[in-house]
Amino acid sequence: MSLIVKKGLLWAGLGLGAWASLSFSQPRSPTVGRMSADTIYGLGRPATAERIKAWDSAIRPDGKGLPLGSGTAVKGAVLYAERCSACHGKTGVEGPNDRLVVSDTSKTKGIGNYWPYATTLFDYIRRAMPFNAPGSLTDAEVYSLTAFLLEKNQRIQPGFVLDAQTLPRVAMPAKANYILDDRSGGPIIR
Amino acid sequence: MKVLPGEKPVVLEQKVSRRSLLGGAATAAIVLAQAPFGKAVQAALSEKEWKTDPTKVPGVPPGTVGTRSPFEKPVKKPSDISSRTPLQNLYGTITPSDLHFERNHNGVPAIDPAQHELLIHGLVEKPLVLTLADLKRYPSVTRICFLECSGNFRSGNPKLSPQDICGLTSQSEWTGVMLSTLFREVGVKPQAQWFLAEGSDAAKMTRSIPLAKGWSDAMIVYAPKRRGHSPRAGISVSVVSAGLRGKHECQMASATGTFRRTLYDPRGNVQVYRTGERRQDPLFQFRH
Repeated sequence: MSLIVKKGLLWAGLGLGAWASLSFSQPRSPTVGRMSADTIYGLGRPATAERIKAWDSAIRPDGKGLPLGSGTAVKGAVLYAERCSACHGKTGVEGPNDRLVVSDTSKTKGIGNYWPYATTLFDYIRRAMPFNAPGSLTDAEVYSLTAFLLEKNQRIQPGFVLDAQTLPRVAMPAKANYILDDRSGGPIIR
Repeated sequence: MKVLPGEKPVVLEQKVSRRSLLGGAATAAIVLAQAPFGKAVQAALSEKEWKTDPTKVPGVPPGTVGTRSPFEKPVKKPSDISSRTPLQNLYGTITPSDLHFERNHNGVPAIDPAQHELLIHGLVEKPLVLTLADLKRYPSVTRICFLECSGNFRSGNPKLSPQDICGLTSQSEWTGVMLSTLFREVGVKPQAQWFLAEGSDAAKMTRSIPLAKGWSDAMIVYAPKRRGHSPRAGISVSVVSAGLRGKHECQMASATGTFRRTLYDPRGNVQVYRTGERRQDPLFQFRH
């Protein structure tokens, strides 16, 4: 105890009074209570707008976050052959890696029969693909690849121009298969 | 033999085995280096050299890092995307860190701890960038958490080992800062309902987690390093939250946290995808 008090005094002496309070208000276990609600440590540095813009790439289902630019399935077909077909097959069916094109109601999960939102395609391709060079595609290229895959899954026509306005409006039939979590049993189950 | 600057090798330009050091003829295996403070240190020892009466020969000197006994050979079982813990070889409750299961979405990222930062932004009063050193200055919490990957279970073959069946299962003691501490620090706005944890791996893997879960028991952990002894792992921070599946443990450094109303449903509700019959397997009950 004397050690803690000494630390508290030392911190106070250094003008770090806020630190002293944490010696005494630290919770005993992560599930029991919180520290006092007004405990602010003032660590870190403010995130600049530039920094947030550089890292904030997530696209929401409603299309929020989609960048400028546009693409078509025709342009996407060329890109797909170059950058994607080695893993996903010539038409998105053959593999060897994940099958992308499934537009029937078979149990095989693909974009056309499993994905509830078309916007997620843009997010995922830009975030993680191509597998051997993630982050190397321009936004226009991502729009074109997204258009190509939506066209192959029979969600849009070949000439459809995909951009921040049109992509969120592409309907995905699998959305109807998503239900609210209706399991009972409390938080341990849900 | 690797001799660090400032060290002198026991025998110059030549690997020295414990046997040869004692006048034996065995081939080289142990590597001894003369540390600056004048003590020889152990680097490795072969099984062959252990196969002798330990009461008749001097043991090896103390080492700089622990090495596994050559008699102990538990190994993970890797696939292209994951690596399973050898449950059948373990006792007790804590998984050795170098045997903790792995699930990578595009390899193990090389993370420099000096460059590793956590960005928290979105529906917050004060967007913040926190370095790893910053995170370690917060009051730390340590707890033991069991972690299971959502793709764990395998069946259908009576010859499967525990490692094959559910080796994507491990338990560690985790140390870090409560996410609620950071939530207060940035001032999460009352309308926020979910947060998005994003990794700094090559898949920039993201997972949405209910904000209430983050307030209740989630942690940003910085220890132990998930793959313990592996130099590949670098250092990273992760989100750990009890009751969520392993897929929610953003295993590769949650580099950004984003607070949004929701990612999955504009109404902020939880959705489950249902195909055909629902699974009743208790292993799969934690869903979002």
